[in-house]
Amino acid sequence: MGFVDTQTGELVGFDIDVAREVCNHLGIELETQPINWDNKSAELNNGNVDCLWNGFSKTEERDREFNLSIPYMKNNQIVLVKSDSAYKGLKDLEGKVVGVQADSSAEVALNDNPDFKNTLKDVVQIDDYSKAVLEIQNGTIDAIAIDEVVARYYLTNNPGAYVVLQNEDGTDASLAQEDYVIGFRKTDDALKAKVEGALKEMAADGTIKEISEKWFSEDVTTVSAE
Amino acid sequence: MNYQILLSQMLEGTLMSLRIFFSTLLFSLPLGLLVSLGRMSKNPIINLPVRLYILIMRGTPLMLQLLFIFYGLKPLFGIQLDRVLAAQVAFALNYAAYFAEIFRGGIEGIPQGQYEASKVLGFTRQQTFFRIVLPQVVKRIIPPMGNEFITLVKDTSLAQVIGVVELLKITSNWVSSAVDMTPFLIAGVFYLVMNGIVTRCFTVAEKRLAYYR
Repeated sequence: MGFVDTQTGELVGFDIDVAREVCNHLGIELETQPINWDNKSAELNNGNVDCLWNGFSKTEERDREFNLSIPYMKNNQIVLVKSDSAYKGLKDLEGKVVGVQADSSAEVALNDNPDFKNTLKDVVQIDDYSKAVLEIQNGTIDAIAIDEVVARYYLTNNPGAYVVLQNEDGTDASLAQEDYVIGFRKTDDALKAKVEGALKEMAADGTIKEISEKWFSEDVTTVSAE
Repeated sequence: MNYQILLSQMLEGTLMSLRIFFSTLLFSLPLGLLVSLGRMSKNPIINLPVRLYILIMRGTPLMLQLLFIFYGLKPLFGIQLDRVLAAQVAFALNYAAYFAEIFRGGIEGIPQGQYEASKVLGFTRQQTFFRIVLPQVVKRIIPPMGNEFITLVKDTSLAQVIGVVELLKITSNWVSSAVDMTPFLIAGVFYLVMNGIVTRCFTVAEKRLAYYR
């Protein structure tokens, strides 16, 4: 969920703001390291980075592989299309091509919805969402299955360009709902405890709510002060 | 999009790409010469391991070698190299294998008569190699070396698979956040300028060394 601010050139995002605030609470300095998402477990286990904090959805497999923090926010897997397309709901994508980030929880969500997936012509694995957005503009794919919080970034920055597919009752169609967590090394309980402590302090003093409202215009966080 | 900041970040990325470029040349050219001598050795204890090294370096993708050196050495041998150092090591080892074969081609292309003439003139074996053979080799291998140097400039972009933030990585970040392809075009110009300079250097070198023609 990190983006380059195209005015200042700085890496920005909800996760980065929260991580920076957590570090302030702990009296340490945040160091961000962009990594290749495919290599995340080697980066963490070799000690090149100390945690994975980037829209990291909780899954059973990751629970076995990593030491996961308490969930700090809710996320939906949704489907994004161009606003000038004829697609309104999931059914309209019958026989169409959907792009998804390789090894992402959106891909898992698609696989968990075989009724929807089997109506599609094809699912294209793309190495990141930014390229998926370019593909949808060029028409090589018709829709993107994507994390809601990532989609919001594109919706906010390109008003009117994309819409979210909806249910018949007008709510956003969700392929899956999930929790975002922070991934630590299996052996690293100390750092996990510190970060969770700081998150709870931020829930108590309202700073995490402020950051959420800045990015999403509402409080999507799920940390309780207890 | 703030082009001033985009360009300054792309220049920073270019410096990282150039760092990999120059360190690779610095280490792989001498290493390549050693490897080529080992490859031509008639002693199998030297010759066989060197051939295996060249086979591995040329026979597997550079991207795989980068991943192995940065992520694979820790679980296997407990060695964790710094991100940029890992890229520099992988590039140097890989390019040394290609340079070695270019050197070998150059050395083996020197006619036997040159060695015989040197012997008659009383040169030692070392003198023959460094003062008679090597200068002629340098002249002959300039065109294939130019190929490799140009490829190396472009290959530096592979370092992003291990998280090295070089020119193309910075550019992709901007493209993805801005959903605008312009930075890609600018990056293309950056690479063209770098390779234009490399090409120019080789043309000049070739002319300067053509003193017998």
